[in-house]
Amino acid sequence: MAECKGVMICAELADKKLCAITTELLGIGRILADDLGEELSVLLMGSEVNALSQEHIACGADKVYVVDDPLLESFNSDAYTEVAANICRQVSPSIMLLGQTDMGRDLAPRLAARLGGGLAMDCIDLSIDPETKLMLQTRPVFGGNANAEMITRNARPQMATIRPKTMSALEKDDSRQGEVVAMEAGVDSSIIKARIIETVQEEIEGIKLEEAEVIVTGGRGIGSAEAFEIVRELANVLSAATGATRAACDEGMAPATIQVGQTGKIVGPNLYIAIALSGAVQHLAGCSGSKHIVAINTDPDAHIFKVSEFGIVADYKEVLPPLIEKCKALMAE
Amino acid sequence: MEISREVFWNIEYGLLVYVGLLLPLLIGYAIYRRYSLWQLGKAEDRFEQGRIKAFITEAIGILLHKRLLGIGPLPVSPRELYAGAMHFLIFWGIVLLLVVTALVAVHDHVVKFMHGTPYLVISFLGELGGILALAGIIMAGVRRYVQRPDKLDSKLDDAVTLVLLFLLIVTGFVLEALRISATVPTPEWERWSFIGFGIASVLGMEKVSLLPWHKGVWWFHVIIFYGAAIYFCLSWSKLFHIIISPVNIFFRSLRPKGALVPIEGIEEAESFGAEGIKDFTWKQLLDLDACSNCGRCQDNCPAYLSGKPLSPKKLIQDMKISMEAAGNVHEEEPRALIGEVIPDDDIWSCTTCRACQEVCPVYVEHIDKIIEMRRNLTLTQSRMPEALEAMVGNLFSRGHPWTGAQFIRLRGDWMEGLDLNMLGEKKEIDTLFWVGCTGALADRNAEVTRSLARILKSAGVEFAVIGAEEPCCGDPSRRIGFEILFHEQVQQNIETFRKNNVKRIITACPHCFNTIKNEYPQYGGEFEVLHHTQVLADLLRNGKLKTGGGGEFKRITYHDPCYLGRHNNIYSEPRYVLDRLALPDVIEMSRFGRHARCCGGGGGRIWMEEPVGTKINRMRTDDAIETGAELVITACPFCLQMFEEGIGAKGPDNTALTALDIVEVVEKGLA
Amino acid sequence: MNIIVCIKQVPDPEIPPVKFQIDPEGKKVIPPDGVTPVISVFDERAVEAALKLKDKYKAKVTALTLGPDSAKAVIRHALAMGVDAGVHIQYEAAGELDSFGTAHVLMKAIEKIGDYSLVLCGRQAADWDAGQVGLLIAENLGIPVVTVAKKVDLQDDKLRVESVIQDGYHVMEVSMPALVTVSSEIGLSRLPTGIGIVKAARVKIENLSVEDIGADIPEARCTELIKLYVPVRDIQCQIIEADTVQESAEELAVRLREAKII
Repeated sequence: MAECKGVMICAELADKKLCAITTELLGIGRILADDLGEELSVLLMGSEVNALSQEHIACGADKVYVVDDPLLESFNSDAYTEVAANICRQVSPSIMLLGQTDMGRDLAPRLAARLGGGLAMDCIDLSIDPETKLMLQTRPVFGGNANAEMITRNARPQMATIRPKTMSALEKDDSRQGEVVAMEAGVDSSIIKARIIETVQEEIEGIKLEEAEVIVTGGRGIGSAEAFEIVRELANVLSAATGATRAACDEGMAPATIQVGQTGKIVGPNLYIAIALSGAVQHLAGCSGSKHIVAINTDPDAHIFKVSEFGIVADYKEVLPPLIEKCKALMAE
Repeated sequence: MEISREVFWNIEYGLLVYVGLLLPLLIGYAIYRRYSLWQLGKAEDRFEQGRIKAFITEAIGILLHKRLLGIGPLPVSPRELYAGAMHFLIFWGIVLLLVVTALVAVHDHVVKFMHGTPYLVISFLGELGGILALAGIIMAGVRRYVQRPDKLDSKLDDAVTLVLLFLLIVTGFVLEALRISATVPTPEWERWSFIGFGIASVLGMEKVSLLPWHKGVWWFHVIIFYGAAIYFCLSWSKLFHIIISPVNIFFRSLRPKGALVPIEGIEEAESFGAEGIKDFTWKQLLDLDACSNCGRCQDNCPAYLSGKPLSPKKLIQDMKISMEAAGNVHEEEPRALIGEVIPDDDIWSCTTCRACQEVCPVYVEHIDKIIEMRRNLTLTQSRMPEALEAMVGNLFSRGHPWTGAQFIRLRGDWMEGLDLNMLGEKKEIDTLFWVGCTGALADRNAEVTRSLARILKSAGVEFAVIGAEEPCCGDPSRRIGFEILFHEQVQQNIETFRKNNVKRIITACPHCFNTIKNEYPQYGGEFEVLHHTQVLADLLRNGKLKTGGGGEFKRITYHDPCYLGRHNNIYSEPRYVLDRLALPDVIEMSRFGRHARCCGGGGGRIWMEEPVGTKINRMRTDDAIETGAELVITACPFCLQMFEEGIGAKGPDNTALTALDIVEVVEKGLA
Repeated sequence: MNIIVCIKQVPDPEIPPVKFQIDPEGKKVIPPDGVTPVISVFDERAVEAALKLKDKYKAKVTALTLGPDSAKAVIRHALAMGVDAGVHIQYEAAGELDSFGTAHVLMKAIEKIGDYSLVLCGRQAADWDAGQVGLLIAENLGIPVVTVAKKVDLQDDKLRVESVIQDGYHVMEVSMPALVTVSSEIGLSRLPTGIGIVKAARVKIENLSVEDIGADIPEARCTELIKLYVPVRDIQCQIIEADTVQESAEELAVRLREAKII
């Protein structure tokens, strides 16, 4: 497969801006491309997105393939899959990277199926093996209990999705030069089999989890939706976002939209306060990017203490009221 | 003049009393009407071998009122003694009266024998019977209408019954007095009829003028008797317990006390347990009529005593209403048994502790009925408390009942560092130490398990364990009504035991013990099953274990686990074990032995929430604290957990009580 | 309506992390003794989604699994929950297949079962967490796919699926046949019922080999596992223990402040 060359990333936009994941993809893509001595290209799909090409170059891209079509206004799996497959067939990249996001989760496997590439999802580390020049993909498996290192030996492209907040973006450099290539979408609306009829935004009170510097999360041990209020109260005092574990969401103590974990939100705040949660690996997969973790749990053997910096072994009902008061006092100083 | 008297003296048409011979017909009709209600139920074989012998043995105890008077090793409370004495007086009083009356009839028609001393003795016995019955009836009236204990709810029938009985006996005495007064001359020997003679001396002797009065009262007495008999038969009065109770006792369960009945043909069934009243067996329906509403069950029910809506007495009485509705073709749509007549919460409140059945004078089987309804709820309707769903889910996917998103322990963890034989490794070992899920998985209970393993090893007992692969015994599934799971678990376990040539099983958990000992035989699994208290008692008896120190506690008490005590009659072994140790004497709690209050953990309750009323385990903890003991000893992993929770809830400032399993106490007390 | 649900047997994902062991040589997980494998949680939710449809409309639900002999336990589980039929593609080396191989075999099995309107899969399996198989099957079958569903319903012969996204959900409409991957937001799955268990025991699970369904296991895998290891975390937790819980709580706030974390 000598004809496959170069690293391509699939850009993701929100409100006509680059998503954080796109800059992270460019960051790791740049490293891989440099190690291979090949070019880093971007597949930019959207409507009226030409103006964003330069920003991709500033963040590390050598070439931007722009597919500008009204049909691509927002992410639609059928259209995006078809277009991305078309472009990949034309460009034949050796490596294709996407984000482990709503879009990447959907698009990457479908693309891999169409292109016959090999795919590793939700990678937390990517590198080039110096000898074989193959991409080494590290991804957590078994809910985060283990890491697996994978390669795609023969199939091309070697595809991977990367977990948000695990790769560093490059410093933006507006002086960087690159090429912008306009491409045809070559599809019409008949390609769309699964139509989005409505998008429902679920209101989340307060700060968004992905953007929060501090997160206070409650687990199944909180006990009830009413009892969850005190978790929110601590979050308010600390200007933090509120999170919940899957178990807590499943039992109706908190809405699924604030679920932190492998299948919920992946977060990386400065401080993560874990209350009445045992620290299932699936949960830690969503918060292990946090800089400081504090745990409050009645069970001294709870796994969460193994990843925490500070801990209190006690009933949260007794800990939180004085903690809230003390924090209030300290924050007021 | 001969010492005797003429029957029907002063009475013409006296032979009319023999219309009474028609009474059996009336009674038969009344019973037949009820019999057709019992026939609404399903078939059940209660005609096993040995039933007659068992009945006769039991009948002696019943005639002596053993249960009611607390005769035997375990006494009853003063209140219960009062009720027992009351029943004893009424029962024997009326028996005497009936016997005397019958003898009079024999004298009149068969053999004239009431002359001289026999006549005097019989007169005296008649007086005695009347006075006993009267005393009992007055006691009953005082109890029901003055003392008004919580367990009695008085209906019109109760008042009518008491008044009728009272009138019958009083008119009987008055009648006798009038006869004595009006007889000229008054025979001296009538002093033997001391009550009648007493009243007669007030009326004055040799008063022929009283003859019409005598006649009047005689007829009044007879009419009341027939009136009462007709009333009792047509209203199916509680007095029918005189007939139904012996019948019910005759047909009582001869199963081991701790064994539930399997669901027949479970693999082909389309619905399970009892959804309506007709899904119970005829014996379960007979129970409903045998219940005389005495309230002893309610008085001993831990759920009722802790403020739950369940009362075993009310359960039976409500089910009786359902049965009557089901038999009444005119009733449009009878209320649903489960949910309407008996709320779900009542069904789930039961700890299956057997306190109700142990005290029931007529052997009503409350637990079987509750389990039948649970079976329907869990298996047919899939309706159970949320916490139980989690437990069942766990049993399904993990093979044990303990929840935990992250269960910290695995089933084999407790064995670490003990160097034990694994089952199947050495063919010659035929003794299995069955640990149980709780003993293997709950941290606190695992300490007990380890302690027991060390003791057994040090005493030279050769045993093997199953370790990480040990499944659940099936007790939790069965007690919550999830019979199908039990059905699978038992068969698998029996196969494992047989495959590994297991002959003897030592258990650390009374629930496992009860299930394997009493319920596995239903599936052909007959093994020698021992609870650790029995093993420890044996080892101490044979000197395999030598006692030494361990006397750090000044006051100790012992809690009888329900499935060890009431369900399996193991009361003395644990006490013997404690007696052999260098410990102070056991101070018994107010409710102990057969009357011990349940810890609240049985019948699947340990996995359920307990939002209503006081928590049972905290009441039991208070019972222990009341004795002034510093140490409460038990022999069941659930009880231990329940005590620790109760003690924890009290807080270290309020109690110095510690809870230990008897195994731990033994290990401390060994030389 | 005929629904096929793909389910997988996985090692119990709730094994405590301290008990989790791998064999680095064999690149395999060593399941601890006495821990029975379970149905993957998202697959169980997929069964629930199918049964919800069955409750509401008439549907025949078939559970399909690929795995070794032991995997028939998950079919029994699904049958006990209420599905109507079970197909077990028995393949002892199923664990060695990558997502592409697995999807290929399942696709063949689905074609063999035939006459389906809807295929349901869990969003990802609780062991390798790849989250690819559902989408790959759809691509292989050439049918539309909707992922991460929190609700699956019918409207005028079409599927209405609520698909979870970052801050809410899309309401998607898709004609059948289609494939939907199901997420935990669909709600807790029902327990097996007594009747279900009894009936499940009477259902004969169809046991097929990969040859029976005409699947050819590819010689070379697309992706290859070259290393499996347990990541080390070296954090020493400072447990704050003051005389009272209140003092501990206050101490915690002070420490966080001192470390300039808050």
